[in-house]
This record gives sequence, structure tokens and C-alpha cells, in this order.
Amino acid sequence: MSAPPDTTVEIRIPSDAEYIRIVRLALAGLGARLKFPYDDIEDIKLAVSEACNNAVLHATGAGGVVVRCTQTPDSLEIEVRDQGAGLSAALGARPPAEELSENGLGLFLMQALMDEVALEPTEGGGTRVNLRKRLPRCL
Amino acid sequence: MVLAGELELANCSRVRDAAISLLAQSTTRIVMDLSGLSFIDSSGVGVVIGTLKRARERQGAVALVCTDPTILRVFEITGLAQVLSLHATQEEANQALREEEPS
Repeated sequence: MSAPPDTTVEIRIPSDAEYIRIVRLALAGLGARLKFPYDDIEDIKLAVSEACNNAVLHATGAGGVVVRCTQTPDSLEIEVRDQGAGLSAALGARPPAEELSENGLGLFLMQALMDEVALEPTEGGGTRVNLRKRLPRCL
Repeated sequence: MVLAGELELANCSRVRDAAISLLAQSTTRIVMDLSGLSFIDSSGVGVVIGTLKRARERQGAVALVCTDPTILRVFEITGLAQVLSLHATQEEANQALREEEPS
């Protein structure tokens, strides 16, 4: 039996917020190729932007941010990896709107927009965020 | 304030500074026109919230013009649609600010 074709798309950007829009452009193309509906593509773009924002904000040195997109039989899996100090692993609830928090919405948005979100520390002291969105035909 | 393009981590501090500078000029009632925005992330949402908080501290108010469904959805998911003054046109937003004005 032959191995499935490699469909991985990997982008590496510097730890600089100016480059995050390039990741969004690539994701828009990949999402369209996988026939995700418009709303899903927007969800993916925002969730991955939030993961990249966290990576850039918590970066402690060189190494950049790596966004690796892998297609599985039923999902698009996106890993966002950095060399930063690490995120708080608390995947918290939405801050109450009345409190008007200026921060802390990023993790909440990732969870609200994707089917699965997981954070873990990497061996090198950074953080890996794994995001999963089910492919449209698998819903 | 009229914003266009993408409001994100890379440019949100410029918008925050512009809003703070407006509020420092004794303006307390601000219309933020987001109708030209195609993308907003949590940093951008933070700027909107920060502007609203700073305006309220000065007994002011902020009204938003926003029609893009993707951006409205972000406000809905975050629960902010309930606390923000959202309008379809600048005229409606101005009207809302006039109606909120203390008599």
C-alpha cells in the first residue's frame, strides 16, 4: 500500500506582527483549495492569527513562528509553534462582556472558532498550539 | 475615526494612540467607523473596548459603524455586541450619540 500524498503546507515567519497577514493570505488560499465555506475560512484565519499573535507577543528570541497545516481524512490541522516563554495553559472562559477586558480574548476566540484547540509546551521552551477544523464534507 | 483594511496586532497601537489623542482634545463622544474594515483580531477588539472605557471614564460614549458580517460575528462571539452601540451608518451612529447626550 502506498503512503498517502504529502499535503503539508508550512510557513515560517519572523516573530513580528507585520508578517501575520501573510499567514492569513496563505490560509485563505489553502481553505479555498479544501473547499471550506467562506465563514469557515474566516474562522480559520482569525483563530490562526490569534495563535500567531500570542507567539509574537510571548517570543523571547530568534526562531520565528512556524505554521504547519496538515490535511487529515476529516480535518485541517494547524500547528502554530514558537520559541517563546509559553502561554498560560488556562483555556479560560470568555471574560464577562460587562468587564470590558482589553486583553485575554485570543484564547477564547480560538476555542470558539475551531473544533479543537490544544496548547502544549515544546521541548525548546516554546509553545505549540494545535487547532483543528473539520473539513466541510465531514460535517 | 474612519478605519479601513485590517485592524490587527501590527497596527492596533497606532489606532489606540489616535483614539487616546482624540479623547485628550476634550472629545468624549466618538464615532468609530469600522465599515471599511475587512478583518479584526482580538487586539483590534481590545482597541475598541479601550476607547469605549476611556470615553466612559470622561462621561463620554462611543458609537460604532459596522456592517461586515465577519466583524459583527466577532463582536457577537465575544459577547460585546450586547454592550457596544453598533450601527449601520454614520448618520445612525451620530444620532445615537446625540440621544445619549446628558441633558
